[in-house]
Amino acid sequence: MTEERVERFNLAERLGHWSHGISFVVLLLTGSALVFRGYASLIGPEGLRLFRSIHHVMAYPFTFLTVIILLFGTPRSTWQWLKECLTWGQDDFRFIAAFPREFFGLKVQLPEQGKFNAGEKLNSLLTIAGSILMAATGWILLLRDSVAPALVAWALPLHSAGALVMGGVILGHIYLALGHPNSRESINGMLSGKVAARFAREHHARWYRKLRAGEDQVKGQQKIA
Amino acid sequence: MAKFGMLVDLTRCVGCHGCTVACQARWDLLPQVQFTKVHRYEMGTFPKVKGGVVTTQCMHCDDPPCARVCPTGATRKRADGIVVVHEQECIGCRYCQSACPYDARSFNPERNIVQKCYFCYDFVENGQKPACVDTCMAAARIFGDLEDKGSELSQAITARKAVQIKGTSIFYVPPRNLDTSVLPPDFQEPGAVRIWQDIVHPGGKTIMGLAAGAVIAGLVINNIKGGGNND
Repeated sequence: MTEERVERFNLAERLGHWSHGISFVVLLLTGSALVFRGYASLIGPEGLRLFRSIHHVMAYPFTFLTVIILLFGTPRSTWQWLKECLTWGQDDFRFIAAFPREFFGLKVQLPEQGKFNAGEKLNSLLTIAGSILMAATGWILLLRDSVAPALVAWALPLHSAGALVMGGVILGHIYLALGHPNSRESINGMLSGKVAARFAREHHARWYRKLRAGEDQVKGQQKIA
Repeated sequence: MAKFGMLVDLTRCVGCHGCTVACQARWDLLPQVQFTKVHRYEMGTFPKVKGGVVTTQCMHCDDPPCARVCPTGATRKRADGIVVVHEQECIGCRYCQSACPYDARSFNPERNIVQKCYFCYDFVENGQKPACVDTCMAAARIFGDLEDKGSELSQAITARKAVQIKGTSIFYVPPRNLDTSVLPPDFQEPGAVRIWQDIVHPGGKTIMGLAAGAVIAGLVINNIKGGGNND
């Protein structure tokens, strides 16, 4: 018997996630060569010039593509996501406090969560803020000849800071999606859109109950009809 | 080892732009790329107005911020004090351009590199003078070794009471009756460069390193425990 699965992310949500994820990783790999000296000398001047071209091309999908996909492809779930990210309750703060133990595979009881757990909400907020910072400072650097020199001088440290902080965040994000035994089921939500019902019940109980309640309602309506 | 420097005697400079053009000719520069520039200034209010000229160029700083921020090491300070750009290693990121406190670097859009005054190092090595010194009809520029007390440069600095722009290799003889505020300021590393190089880079690398360490620790612990409760 195949495991029961429930839909967590629709196609537009997944495309939005991956257009952002792929462009970010390419930007990080091509950009961080200018921060890590050993990496820069490994790539060499020719490679770095190629990196620059890739970095500049990727600025377009990074800035615009994800926003377009989410806004036009799935405005309702995007709105829901943003609303959930900005709503923080007792359970969320307790989740964040308890999560380091979970991260390192130690025993811990995590409070009940919605479609997005508090860690995912924090990751979303950091990603939104970080992306706005990176896009804003990045475009200042691309358009440096038409902006004030002082703006360029300060965009440089801010662009580096944002890249390194978001680089740290994505390492944890990838680990939780692919490597962590309890949470790695979540990657299926971003690939096929569906996660195991058991995973949904255990990790996103509040969302799972609503999902079931909605299904029962639909079934009930069908019966009446 | 020599430490090269330059004196510009502004009491002699007539602002003819000969230095700018001779330099461009020797280095085959684009018209918009000028390693040394001539600025005109006016001071006071009518009828008591004074005017004059100041030349600017790469100051060959003692601790150049351009070399600090260069990610490839294309910009470096040589043992003889000359700050050079190895143009074939330059990737045109232009970090140096915004790090320079003297706006002494030019972007070459055709070759996609940043260039600046090199004190004509390869000509100097062959015993020639820099192009700007060679061409100056008023003999306002003197180039030489600051460590050699007997050099024409060292003697002129003492004899003409030249002002050193502190932290750099450039000296000026200011025009008579004019204050030194028309000269480039003493060297100071820009705040953005300091925060970028001293705080952002080491701090950001630490954050990334801690994240990587946490992931590795998590992987190790989970492996030892043999997977979680979802497998």
